[in-house]
Amino acid sequence: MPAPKGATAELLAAVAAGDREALRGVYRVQSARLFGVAMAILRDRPAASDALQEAFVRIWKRARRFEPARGDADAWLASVARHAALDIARSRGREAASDGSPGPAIDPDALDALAATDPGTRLRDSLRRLEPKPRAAVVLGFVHGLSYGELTTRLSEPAGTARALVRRGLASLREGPS
Amino acid sequence: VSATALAEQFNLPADPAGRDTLAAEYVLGTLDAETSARVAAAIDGDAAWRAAIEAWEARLAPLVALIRPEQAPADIWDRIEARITPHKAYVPRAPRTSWIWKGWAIAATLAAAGIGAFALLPVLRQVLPMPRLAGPAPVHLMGPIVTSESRAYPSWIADVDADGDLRLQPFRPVAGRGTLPPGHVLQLWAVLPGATVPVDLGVLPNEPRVVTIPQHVVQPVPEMVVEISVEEGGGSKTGRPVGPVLFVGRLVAVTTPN
Repeated sequence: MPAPKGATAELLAAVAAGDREALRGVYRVQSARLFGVAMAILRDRPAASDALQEAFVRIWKRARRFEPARGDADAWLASVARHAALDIARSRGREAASDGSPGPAIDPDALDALAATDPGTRLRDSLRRLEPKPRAAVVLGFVHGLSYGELTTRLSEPAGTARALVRRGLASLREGPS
Repeated sequence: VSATALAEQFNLPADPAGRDTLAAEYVLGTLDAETSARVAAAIDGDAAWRAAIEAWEARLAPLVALIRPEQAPADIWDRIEARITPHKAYVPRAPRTSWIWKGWAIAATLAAAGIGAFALLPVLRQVLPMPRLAGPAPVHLMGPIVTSESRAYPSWIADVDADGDLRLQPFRPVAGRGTLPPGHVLQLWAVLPGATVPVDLGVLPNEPRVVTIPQHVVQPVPEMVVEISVEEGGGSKTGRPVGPVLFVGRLVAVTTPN
C-alpha cells in the first residue's frame, strides 16, 4: 500500500518537528512494508517485531536527518528498518550461524518486480548482466541480510569466496548498465 | 575533521576506492557488527563517507520491491508510542555525578557514536560489581520487587537512576541463595501501562549485580510493571515469559528527602 509520492516525505518533516501523530501516519502506511523487510532478514515474528519497534524509535529520533533533496523517503525508511533488523541479526550471532540450514529465500533471478520504477529498472538491467553467483550474492545479501558465512553456505561456495563474489557484483553495479 | 583523520580515528580506508567498497558492503549489510558500527560512526563526521553511503542506498533501494509486505502484530504501535513519550517524572532533581554515571556517560557517548552500537538489543548494562545500598538515592520512581515464596532467589529492588534509566539492584544477596536450578536463567520484563504484552529486557546476570536498562530499551513510567521470570536455557525468545513469574513490582512515584 504505497503512499502517494511526496506524502511520506511531508509526514517525515512533521515527525522531525516532534509530531507523534505524523509518526503514527508513517506507521499506518509503512508498517507492513517495513515489517516485511524485518521478517525477510530475521524470519522470526518476535524478533522482527523488536526490529520494527526499534526502527520507528530511530525514525522518531532521526527524522530531521532525512533530506528530501538527497534521497527518497521510502528508501530512507527501508534503510532504517533494514539496519535495525541487521543489528538484531548480528546480536544473535549471525556471523557464527553460517552452517545452519538456510531458510526459504526469494529467487534471485526473479527481478521483474524491480521494473516498477526507473531506478529499479536500471538496477534490474545491471543485475541481469551479472553472472548468476555474484547476482545471487548481492540480491540475497540485501534481502535476507546474510553474512559472508551464510552466503557461502547458501551459494555452496568454498569458504572465503562469498566476499569476492559480493565485491564483484557490487563493482559491476557501481558502473551501471552501459 | 579531515577525511584522513576521520579514517584513522575509525580505522577505515582513506582512499576513495576502499571507502566506496566498504560503503557498499555497509549498505548491503554483509559487514560484521564491529566494522558496521565503525562505518556508521563515520557517516556523521565525514561528507565523503556520507555521500558514498547515500549513493549505495539509492542504488540498492529498489531491491526492497522484491520483499513481500507483511502485516505487523497489532501491539507494536503501542510499544513504539510508549518509548517515544517523554515523562517529566524522570527529570532528575539533583543529578549526581559519580564514577558510576561518568562510566554510563562514556558508554552513552560511544552508543551515540554509531547506529551499530545499538546492535546488542535487548541489552543489560552491568554497572557495579556489588550493590551499594547505603544512602538514599534521589530517585523518583521506586518499585520494590519481592520474592513470592521460598526466598530461594535473591530479591531485587527496581528504581530509576539519576539518568532516568531503569535500574535493578539485588537485595539480600546472601551466599547460598540465588542459586538457580542448572540450565535456568532469570529474565527481566516490563509491562507498560495499558499494554497487553511485556517488553523483553533480557536475561539477568548469574551473579547478583546492579543492572541498568538504557532508556532506548524501555522508558520507565509510573505504573509500569517489572517482572522477573525463571526460564530455561538462554531465556524465552517468544516475547513473553514461558516459565513462572517469580518477581513482580510496580513502579510508583515516591518523594525522597533533600
